[in-house]
Amino acid sequence: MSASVKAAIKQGLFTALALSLVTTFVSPLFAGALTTDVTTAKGNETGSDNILGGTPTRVTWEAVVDEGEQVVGVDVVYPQGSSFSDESSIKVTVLDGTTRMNPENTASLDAATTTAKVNFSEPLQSGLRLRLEMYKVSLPNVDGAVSLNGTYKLADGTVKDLGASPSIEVTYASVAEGISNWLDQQPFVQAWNSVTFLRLFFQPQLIVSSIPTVATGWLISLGLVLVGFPLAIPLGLIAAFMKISKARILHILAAIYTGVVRGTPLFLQIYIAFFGLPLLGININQYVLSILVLAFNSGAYLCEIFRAGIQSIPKGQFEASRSLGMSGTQTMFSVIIPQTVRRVIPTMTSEFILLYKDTSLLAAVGVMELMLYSRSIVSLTGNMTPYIVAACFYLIVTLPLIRVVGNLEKRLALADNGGGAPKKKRKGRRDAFSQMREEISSTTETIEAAEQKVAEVQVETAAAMAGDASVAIDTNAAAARAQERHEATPTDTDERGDAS
Amino acid sequence: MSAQDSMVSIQHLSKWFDDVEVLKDVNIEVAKGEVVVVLGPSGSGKSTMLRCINLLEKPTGGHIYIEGQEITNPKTDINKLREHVGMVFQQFNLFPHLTALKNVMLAQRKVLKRSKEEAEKVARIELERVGLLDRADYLPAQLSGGQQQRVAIARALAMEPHVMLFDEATSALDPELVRGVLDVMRSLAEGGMTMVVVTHEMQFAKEVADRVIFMEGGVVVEEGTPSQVFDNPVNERTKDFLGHIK
Repeated sequence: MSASVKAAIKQGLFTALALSLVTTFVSPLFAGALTTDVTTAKGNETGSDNILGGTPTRVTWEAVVDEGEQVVGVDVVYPQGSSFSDESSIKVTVLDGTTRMNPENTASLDAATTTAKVNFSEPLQSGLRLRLEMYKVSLPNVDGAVSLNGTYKLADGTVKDLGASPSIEVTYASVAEGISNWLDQQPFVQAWNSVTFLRLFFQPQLIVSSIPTVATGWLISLGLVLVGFPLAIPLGLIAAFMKISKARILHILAAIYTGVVRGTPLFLQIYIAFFGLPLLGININQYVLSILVLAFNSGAYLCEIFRAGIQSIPKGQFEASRSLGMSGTQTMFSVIIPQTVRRVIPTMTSEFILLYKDTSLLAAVGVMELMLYSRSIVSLTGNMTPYIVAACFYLIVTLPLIRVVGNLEKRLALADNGGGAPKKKRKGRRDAFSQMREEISSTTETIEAAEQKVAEVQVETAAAMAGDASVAIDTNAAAARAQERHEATPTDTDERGDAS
Repeated sequence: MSAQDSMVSIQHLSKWFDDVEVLKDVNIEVAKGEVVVVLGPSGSGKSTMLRCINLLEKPTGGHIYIEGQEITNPKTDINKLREHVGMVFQQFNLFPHLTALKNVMLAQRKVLKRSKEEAEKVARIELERVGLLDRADYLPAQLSGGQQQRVAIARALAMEPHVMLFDEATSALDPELVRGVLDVMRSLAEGGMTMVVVTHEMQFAKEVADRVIFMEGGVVVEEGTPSQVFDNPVNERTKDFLGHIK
């Protein structure tokens, strides 16, 4: 609200000078003071008029010289936490009514004290309006109102404090918003955004600024599934035991559970839980209810995974175990379950991935999670980028897990084929390879050294040509031998390679 | 044969699978320290008979006694009884998630409640007996079939069984691996172990068996010393079967 009011004020200043000049005549002037009547800053947040703290903006400050005063200097002090940069600058305007005056002045920004200093060689007469525009200055990074203070100097040398000035509503800027605002200024970002598709789906500023919000949702989604899934495991295990149990009633109960849950959409189950339970007067915290629904749903799938896992263990394992005198329970926990776990881990991981993605369905009943957090920014900005960011947050969990599943399945297949400890073997083979490679490279070095020697000998030979012919022949023979060795070595390498 | 000397006594055993009668009035006595080899064509019911001895198959009729205790009586603690009946399977059935050593240790710990140290000590002795002490820390998948079967024998022996049942222990092995397993079985027999062996290894039967039983169609058709059965078979079926083998 206040932001839009300020925007309106700012708009007025931009469009018509006259408007502000009217204020000059209308505003009741405090006697004996340089009355500050305008302090505004330009909105600098992407997609809104908010003024972000700690982020460069343009601040406009205006004051009117009161009756009977002659002002020769003004120091406008920025509140603590403000900052000026090398790019900061100040522009001084003095207006007499609608007339722009150009009195001689020196204006500077003092970064150490964050003070804007203006001195005039000729005193400003009463009724004149002084406007300071300070570019690329940063206000404190806080949430709330900040105001500028300072002093002014009269022609007679007295220094007075500036009166109260209107305050500026500053919004706290996160690191992401800071980066986002920096990006806003970059030419390459502007070029990128000139492509409609890129701007709507991959806007750099929005990627950066939406990350904190979407990450919050991500943590919630992850939390829901990290609590829900472990709850689903015992549920699924119990249901699996019921399903393979010889007691008919237990089997039927488990079959109804898995049948109904697997046979209906999770979306529907969420609706029934979230709208049905309150009708019964049962009100549960929505996150707790989310976890319960997810666990209830996943438990049915895990039941089938566990049941299939247990039943995939060869009958011989039961027989061997029982023939050793182990009881049914001992067999189950010492022999069957450990083998089942290894077999079901890939499928369980897949189920975890599914459940994690399915947390998005909770958005439909207003549970603030990853999906809903990103949607909130999308509806604010009308830009798809936050959804892309959300996609990335889903992927950073699912992609590594998908890879894990793949590796586990490969290892399981190897183990089932009697490969046993495949990792060790492969490592050993890799070591052998690297050893081979080292040997080859060291041999190559020897060859190169030999070649160099041959070349040297040849040079010497050429030099000696004129002199002793027999020496020359010897050297040639040596060169030839070196050549032979050179040719022979790669064969050696091959042989050695084969041998290892 | 007196009841005291009898290790396994099978009386009028019958077994039906749905409406197929696979065992018909089978009567077998196995004395303490005796090695009985059961021969017969596939589907003759010899494996089913063997599996009935430790109740992996529930007999439809008849009685089975082990050391005078009736196992077919529902009141008998079957787990207690199985402790003393070692079984070796055609498919080895080692626990694939455990090393050879742990395979041999597991039931000692769970059933006999031996301490970890004691179980390991026994396991190492038994693995040494089957010549595989150096493979103690290998997983079954890292062992050959013959080695797996020898570990399976060690696993059964660690329970200090009073009788060992071998269900075609060498049938799933490559020919070159059979010998190692048979050697172990032979040395067991020489050590005085009571054994009931279902096999197709005629040579083994001839050399090691105290008694050979020939089954056909769920019935014991011939029974006697190896020389009786192999050299002078009375039954036509036996003659025919042995003729095919040779």
